[in-house]
Amino acid sequence: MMDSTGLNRVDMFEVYKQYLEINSSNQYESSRNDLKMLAEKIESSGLTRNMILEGLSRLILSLNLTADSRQFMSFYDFVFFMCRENRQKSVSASMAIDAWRLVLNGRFRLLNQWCDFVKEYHRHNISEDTWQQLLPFSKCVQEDLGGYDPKGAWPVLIDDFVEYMYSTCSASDDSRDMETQQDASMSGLVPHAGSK
Amino acid sequence: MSTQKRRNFKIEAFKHRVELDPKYAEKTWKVLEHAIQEIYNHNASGLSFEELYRNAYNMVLHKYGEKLYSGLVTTMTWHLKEISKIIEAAQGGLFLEELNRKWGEHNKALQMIRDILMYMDRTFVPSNHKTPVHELGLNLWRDNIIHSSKIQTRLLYTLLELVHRERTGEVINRGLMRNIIKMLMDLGASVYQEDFEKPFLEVSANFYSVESQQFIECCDCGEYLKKAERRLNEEMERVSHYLDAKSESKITNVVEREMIANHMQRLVHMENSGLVNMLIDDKYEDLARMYSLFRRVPDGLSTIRDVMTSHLRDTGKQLVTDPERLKDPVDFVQRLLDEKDKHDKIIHLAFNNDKTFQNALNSSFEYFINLNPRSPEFISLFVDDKLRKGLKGVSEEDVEVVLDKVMMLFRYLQEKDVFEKYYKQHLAKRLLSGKTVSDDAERSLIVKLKTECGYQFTSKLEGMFTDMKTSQDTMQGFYASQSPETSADSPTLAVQVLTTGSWPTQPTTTCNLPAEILGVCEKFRTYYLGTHTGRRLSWQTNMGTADLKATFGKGQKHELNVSTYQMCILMLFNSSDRLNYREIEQATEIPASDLKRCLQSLACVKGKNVLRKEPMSKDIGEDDVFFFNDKFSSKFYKVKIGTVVAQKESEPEKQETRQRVEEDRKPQIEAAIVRIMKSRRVLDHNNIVAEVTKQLQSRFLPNPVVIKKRIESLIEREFLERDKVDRKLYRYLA
Repeated sequence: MMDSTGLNRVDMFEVYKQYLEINSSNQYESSRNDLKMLAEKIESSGLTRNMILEGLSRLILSLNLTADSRQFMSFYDFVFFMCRENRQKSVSASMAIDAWRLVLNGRFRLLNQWCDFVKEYHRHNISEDTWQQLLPFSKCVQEDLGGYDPKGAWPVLIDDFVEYMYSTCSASDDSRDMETQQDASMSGLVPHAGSK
Repeated sequence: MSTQKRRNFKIEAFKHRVELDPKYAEKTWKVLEHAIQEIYNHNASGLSFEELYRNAYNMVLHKYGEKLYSGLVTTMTWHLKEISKIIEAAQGGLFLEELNRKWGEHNKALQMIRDILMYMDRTFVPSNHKTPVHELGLNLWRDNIIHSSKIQTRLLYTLLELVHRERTGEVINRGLMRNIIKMLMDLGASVYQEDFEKPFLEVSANFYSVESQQFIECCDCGEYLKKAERRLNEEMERVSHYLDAKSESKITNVVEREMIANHMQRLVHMENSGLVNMLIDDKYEDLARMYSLFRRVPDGLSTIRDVMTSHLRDTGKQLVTDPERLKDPVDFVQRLLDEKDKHDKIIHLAFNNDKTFQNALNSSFEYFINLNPRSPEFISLFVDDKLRKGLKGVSEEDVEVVLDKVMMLFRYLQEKDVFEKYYKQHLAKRLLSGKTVSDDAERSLIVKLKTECGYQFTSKLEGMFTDMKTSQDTMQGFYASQSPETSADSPTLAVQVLTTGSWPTQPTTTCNLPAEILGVCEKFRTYYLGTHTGRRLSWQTNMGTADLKATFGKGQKHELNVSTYQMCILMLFNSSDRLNYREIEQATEIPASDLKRCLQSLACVKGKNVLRKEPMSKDIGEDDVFFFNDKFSSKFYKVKIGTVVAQKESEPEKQETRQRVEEDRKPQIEAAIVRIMKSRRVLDHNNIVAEVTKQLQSRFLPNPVVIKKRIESLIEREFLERDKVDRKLYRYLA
């Protein structure tokens, strides 16, 4: 047990280092190839889902990243890279939710609502674009959904989320205790936003 | 030196004569003054103009010009003051006549005086910057007569009073009026304007303000407009008779403002008689009058247009959303056409074919037709109805008229692709059942669709026609290849070979065909595949028809026109008289819903019930038993059973078509995005959406959310990527 996690930590650091190296090179074609090889290597090592998540959580603790930094952006992309299965271009919704809870914890005011929303209404995989766009969205959006621009070219899933938030918020407008009210309305939701 | 000499000589010669009589000037002036007096007293006949002219000439020549000129002013002023007293004394109606007469006399006198003083006018006046005699005479007339305190207001009052009397219907002396006005104009534009025109316009404004108020209280809109029009014409007539032509635009402006502009809103919205009522009741004359009057005032036409537009939108919306109307698609479309015809006619007859009105009409139709998502389907059904039976016995030109009208509605549709879907379905049914009335009409409409939407739109429809033609040839070839003996006994087969993709495909559920039929079908298959290698044939038994010869109980023979399914059912009764539902279902393998519908039309329709059913109910149950109906009888030899008429779709069918349409749109949207990005390389989200919408709007109106989803899909498939810095920008990846 000790051994495998120990090995894991080393691996994850190593992989991240390689990932950053590949991405910092400017040759598009070769870096694509290198990334592909790296992905194959990870896959052949037989990491399970839990091991990946655990490794990432160790990595995040030791990296000590600030939310706005470039490093965090790279790291956020790296998480997507690690969470893919069979080198797909997308991540399963459940894996994405776990990963988001891990990396965006404390960095995204609506993280809970977002994860609940995705869990409830989105059964498809999360595309790389949607994954990447959530990061700028998490930075600019406020708790009351201020800062969101409907013409802001956000992925449809984010648009749907905002619409869903509006419909639930208006249902619990007169409540002072937003937190609990939100949870309550979440469970008894009229599923109209998700039908898209 | 020599010139000096000559000059000296000349001057001496002059001086000699001038110095003759020191009282010369005074004497001469007396003569002239007397003459002027005589002229004013109508005694000019005794005067010698030659002598008078010479006198005046000499006075000027001898530097008494100033004396002559000031003498003239004094004398004329004195005379005019005398005249003024006479005019003032004239009573009532004689006032204007006296003024007119005196004015005439003054003009004559002025003419003579000017002739006498012509030399002064030519030399003294210009070099001393004096007013010429004629003008001087007018000025003095103006100052002493027209502007005399006792005449000025009286004159104005009299003139205005006459105009007022004429407006209230009295006949006035227009000649006199014209002369007086002409006098004012002769005295200068400012005299006419200040002493008449301005007050005239003010009084008129008051008059029409009061009158329009009265009219609007007691008249309906049409009547009011008639009165306003008459007033306007009267004023223009008045100008042409006795006012300055320049006054026309001013006075019509007053009438327009007081009678039209100030009451426009009230007029168009007048209860029971306003614009909407006129439109409803086709009051072409009233509408034309409103148009021609309102166009004279600012915002007049837009007022009419706005009311018309909102009326059109309201009634159109009611029409297309009325659930009662949705029951009959043909009637629904006919009503739309009627509505269009009605308003076309109004615009043609009453609104001068005004382009802006036509545009308003078009945009209104576009607005409300698309409120009902079923409009494309219904328009196609309307065409179907017309091409099936509605155009029978109608001349070619009239067919064109109907088709053109349909095209006009088609142009309003936003979802042209939906229309295409339905049109294809309906056309397929028409072609396959041979129910189309006129091939020419069918083709004509396709040509129209092609010019409207391009080749892409109609290529599949044209493919269907080609298939029909090719099938005919194929069948001829098939029968030519068969020996007459083998085919003598077997049923006649007519196959239509349909190219996959051109026709609205339905999931093929081939039923079990009767053995006799199966035989010929196999022969055909062998023949066809023999001549066309590499093809696949599958039978669309849900679309065919059959003619059956049947003999009933008392030996009466009939020919039954049925669908392929119905044929399969009826053929079973060749070998047994009694079959239950399940037996039929097993033997034919016709899908349950179709089977029930077929049995219903065979057993439950009065007059066409070639089968009998137990129990005798309207609906088909799974335990029902069917018998061959011995007692069937009909007046006709040929009996048509259960025709396949295109009907409006049921709810689930509608959903299915909608879904197919949405699916078909995806690649079109993606293609548009790629086309745009290929040429632009980098573009932001909102511009892509705008451009895609523009590119596709001739076919349908793409939903922005759908466009966004397509963009995301293209990003995922690496046709596009987001810009690393500005996330709203997309880049095309070659």
